[in-house]
Amino acid sequence: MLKTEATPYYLPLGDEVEIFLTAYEQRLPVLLKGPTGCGKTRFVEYMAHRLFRGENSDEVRRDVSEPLQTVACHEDLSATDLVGRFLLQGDETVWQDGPLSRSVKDGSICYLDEIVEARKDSTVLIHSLTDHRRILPVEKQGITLDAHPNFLLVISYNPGYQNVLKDLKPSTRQRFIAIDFDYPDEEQEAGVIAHESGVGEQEAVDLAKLGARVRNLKHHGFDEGVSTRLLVYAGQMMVKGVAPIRACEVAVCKAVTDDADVQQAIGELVRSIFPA
Amino acid sequence: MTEIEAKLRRMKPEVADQYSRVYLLLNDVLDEAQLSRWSELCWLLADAGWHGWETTHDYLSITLDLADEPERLIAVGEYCSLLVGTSFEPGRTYLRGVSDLIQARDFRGLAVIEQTGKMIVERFQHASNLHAAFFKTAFMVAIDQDQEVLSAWCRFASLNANLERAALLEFLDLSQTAPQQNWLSLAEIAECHRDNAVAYLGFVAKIRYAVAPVEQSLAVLVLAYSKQQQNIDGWLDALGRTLPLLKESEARILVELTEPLTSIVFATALAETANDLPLSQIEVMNAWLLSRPPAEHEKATAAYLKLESAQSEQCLQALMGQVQLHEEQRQLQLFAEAMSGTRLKIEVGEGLPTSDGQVVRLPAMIDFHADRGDNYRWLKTALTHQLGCYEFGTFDYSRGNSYVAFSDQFRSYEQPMLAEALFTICEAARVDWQLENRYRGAANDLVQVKSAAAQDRPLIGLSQRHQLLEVMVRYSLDTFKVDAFKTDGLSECEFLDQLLDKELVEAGVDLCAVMDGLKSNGASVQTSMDAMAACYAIVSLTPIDVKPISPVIYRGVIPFDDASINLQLTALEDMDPDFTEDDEDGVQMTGTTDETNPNIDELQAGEVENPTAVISADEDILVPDDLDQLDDPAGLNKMERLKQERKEPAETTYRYDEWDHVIEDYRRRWCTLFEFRQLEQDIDFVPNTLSEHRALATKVRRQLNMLRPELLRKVKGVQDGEELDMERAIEAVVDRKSGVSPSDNIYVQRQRKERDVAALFLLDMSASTDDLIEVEPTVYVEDDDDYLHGFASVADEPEKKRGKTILDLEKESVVLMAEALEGLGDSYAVCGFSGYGRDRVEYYVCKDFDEPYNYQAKGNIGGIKPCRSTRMGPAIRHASKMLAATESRIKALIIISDGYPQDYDYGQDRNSKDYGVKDTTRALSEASLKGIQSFCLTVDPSGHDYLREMCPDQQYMVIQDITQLPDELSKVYRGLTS
Repeated sequence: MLKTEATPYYLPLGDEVEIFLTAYEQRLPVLLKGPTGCGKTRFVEYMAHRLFRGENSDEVRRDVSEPLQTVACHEDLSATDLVGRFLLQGDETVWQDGPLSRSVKDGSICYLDEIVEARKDSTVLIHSLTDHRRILPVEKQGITLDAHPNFLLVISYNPGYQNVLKDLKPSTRQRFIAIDFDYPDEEQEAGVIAHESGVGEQEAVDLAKLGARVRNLKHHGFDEGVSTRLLVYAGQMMVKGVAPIRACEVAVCKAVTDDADVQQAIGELVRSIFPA
Repeated sequence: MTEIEAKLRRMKPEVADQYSRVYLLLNDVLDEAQLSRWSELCWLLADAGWHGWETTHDYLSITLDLADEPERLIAVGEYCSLLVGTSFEPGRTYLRGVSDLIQARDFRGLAVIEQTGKMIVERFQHASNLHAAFFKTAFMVAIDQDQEVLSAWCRFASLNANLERAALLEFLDLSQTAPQQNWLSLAEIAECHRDNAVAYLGFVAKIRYAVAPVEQSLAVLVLAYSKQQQNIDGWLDALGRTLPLLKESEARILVELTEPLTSIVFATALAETANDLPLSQIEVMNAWLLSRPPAEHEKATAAYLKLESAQSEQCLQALMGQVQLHEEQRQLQLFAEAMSGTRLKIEVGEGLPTSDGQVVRLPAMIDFHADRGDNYRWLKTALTHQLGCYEFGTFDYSRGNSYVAFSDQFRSYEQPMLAEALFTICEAARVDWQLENRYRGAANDLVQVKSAAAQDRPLIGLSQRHQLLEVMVRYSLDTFKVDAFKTDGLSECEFLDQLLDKELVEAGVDLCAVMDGLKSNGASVQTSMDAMAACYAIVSLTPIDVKPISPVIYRGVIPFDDASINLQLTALEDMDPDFTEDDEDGVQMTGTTDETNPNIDELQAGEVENPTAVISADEDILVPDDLDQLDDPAGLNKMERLKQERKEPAETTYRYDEWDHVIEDYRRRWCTLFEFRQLEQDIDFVPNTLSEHRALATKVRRQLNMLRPELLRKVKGVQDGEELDMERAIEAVVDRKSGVSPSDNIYVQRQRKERDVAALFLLDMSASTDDLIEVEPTVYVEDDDDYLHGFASVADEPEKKRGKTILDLEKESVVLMAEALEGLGDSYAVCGFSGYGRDRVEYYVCKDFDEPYNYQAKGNIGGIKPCRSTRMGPAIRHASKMLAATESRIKALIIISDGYPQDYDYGQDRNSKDYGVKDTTRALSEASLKGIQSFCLTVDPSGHDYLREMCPDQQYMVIQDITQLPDELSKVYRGLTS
């Protein structure tokens, strides 16, 4: 859910903001690709804020109460979960909209996080929404919803750890503008860490350094490396007075992997970077 | 008198003369009877045999000395007459001994010697040499030692008199060569255990110099063991090997440590390992010894003391603070990968730390410091320094299109060795300083390691050139600071004044100033080269000293060019995976990339100049690298050589622990496993098998394909799903109507099941698999679920089937499985194992998980041949390691063998199956801890006995009819992986 008051912090790494704005202008669905915790969700929140509350908003959009519907997709996420279902209320059945249909009706941004995790039926469901038709068939009610002009579908997809079976089908994939995300470089990441956690500059630089080094290990039992998010957590621990080495231990070493050797190796890395 | 004199005169006139002379003098002293007996004895001795007169001569010689003791004179003569039966030698030796006693004026020992002598003479009659030897030795001891010792020796000798003649002679011999023994304790030992005493005597005589410092306490130990009737031969053997290599203090500690060991077996074990133990650290040794297993567990204790058990090794390491690279290897490997972002391999290397662009080699064990933390810090810092070279671009240095930019650059100086030495110092300094700038944690470690390194450096007695180089090294180690540069002949730094000749101080300050530039953030390898040039200008003015300066150990040595070439090759390989396979293209490729380099003209000019410069140079100035570089200006040959070296070696070795159920502990790194990937090929085997067993192949494939439909599964009674579970839904409605809270679980869900399987087939290649199978022409029994007429071919071709071995069948089964698995898409590997002894376990990888099932893999499987033993444990451990690395959800290990695990040294008792079975059991349970399901298939009819014990959860099958193996195998596979 988008907090309407403050603009979420987002540090653009390239032209992704401009691309997104242009895509929105044309109502072209957007696919965000990138590893865990690199800022995809934050980016969508930031863009939603800009488009519905901030500098790129207009009056109609400012009236939308929930500019962003985020759905974290999982293995059991079915079309029903997205579109809506009948619930029993007393002796009657009551229709409850799913997040997708709510977004389609309201004209907000619907963000399906980690779309490949969802079941195939739900991926197919979005096909009709993402071409010129912009419609959402609601089978159970026997109706078809026309998308609100302000509606935009954004999905994210992490090519890193999914296996072949969990790849996006071309028929789905080729309906989106794709924006690539990756972890920021050390300097930018240090900026993000400093801003988000409030640690000092030196610590932020060191954390970013640690992040970059740990990501070199991503083939060893954890596919993603350490996310910017975890580094921010480590920074937050440090701000509250946890010793840097300990903070990294709990937020990074133990968090990214269960392999004792990898944990120890990261521990050594931490001890190389942070003075005892 | 006259009669005897006459007889003597006939024999030897000189003796007759002597006799008459002595007789006259004795006349007044001896009474009639004594004189007559004396005369008689003189004749008796002379008449006793050949050269008997010599004995008489000796008797006459001592007569006058004994004249005042007539009784003793007669007694000596009488005793001597007993000895002269066969030869004059014993008698003479005896008389000479008596004469010695006369000189010493001490006859106390005579009685005991005579008594023992008599016993020996009686026991070994006619052994005159022996008798002589005894008397010689006995009197020697009598003269050297006091009465008590002599009695001890005689006691010892009389105990030995029960031995064979040769043994007694040896004893006498030993006594002669080392008469200074502690005969008292030896006699005491001999009384308890005579063999031990003799063995100990021989031991001491052999390595007297090594034993001397510990002789007393050693004798006490020997006595203690002898009292318990324990034979000490083995122990002394071991000591004989190890003791001479120990320092005096260490030998003392060894003996001290042995004291509490009650059993000689333990003492022997300890003595055997003595050279590998840190004996100088007494506290460590005591603590180590205290944690040994209880004595009643004899084999475990022995293995502990021999440093063979895991517990022992760990305990010792923990106590000593040693850091073993192999224990930290994976962790450091990961650390290195994280730091460098490349796959730098960490390996054990000889000598100084080094790296060549692919591998970082570090010492196997670090024990510079007493504290483990310090040792580990050293190791990590050494590694960090090597990694720093990559991170801070040491190998980025390039010079035209030369592959050996560094040597080329060094050779462009008149003194290439000096240039290289200077660059090495500057670059190492730069890398360390850059590391300190970037890694604050590593900086702390570096400070400590640097200061420790500085303490080991030489300070005085250096040549002028070395003084300057030393200044640079010390400066790079942050030993001192130079605050003010360029003062008049004197620096403000005491250290420089101390190290340098007065006229060099200014140069020293200048060098430090140059090096200071390397500290700045962003100093590159070029900065180091420039610094080297500046330093060269200063240092080359000093007289040449070709000796290299002592290295800073943690910085190691770096073969700059090798590393640089390897990195370039890696980069090329990344661009084009076929690079190494096609050499020609590779070289051309590099050629083309470099043609754009504008420095090419300069370089060619340089090439012409440099070799001449080197040749004409003074012979003191050595060429930094091998001379063949002269013919290889751009390092092409060198590059080719390194490229060749990059080709994968045919075998890789691994060390595995082995479980010893007797000591209930692992024997550390006990087995050496060789992994072979290039095997003899038999490309016809697979096609032949397939055409022979077409029907069976179809059947196996069909059976395995039945695994597919399980991809989707309906799960009833879940909270959410795409269909209602009608029964439950109705139930829920009924519940609600009747006022009971209904269940939410009313949906049916289709859950997708993916096959994420890795299977490894491990074939026993032992010699016994070469046995022929006797095939009864049985028709294949089909499964109930088989409605297709799958298999009827064996009966069709009984001719072809004959002459097959067990291994053939193992191979055929695997081939059929492989074909079917290709269809199913599971990843699988096929390996074989054999070997001989713990130092040679052979492991053949026919097809690895990620390798395609191509002609190569097929040929490999076909090429499997019976070899030797069945040491199953290490093979299973290696297979588990391969499986664990696949990270698949289901990991299956299928072992196909024909008998119980055995090897000639699989356990101490060759005939005991226990050791091998227990080790295999352990290996299998280790595998199961790694999440690997194992299954043993055997064709050994007695397999039930040991497989029941070996395999967890009854995961085994004994195949009565081996021809059913392919079929059973596919069933097992289905069971394991679905």
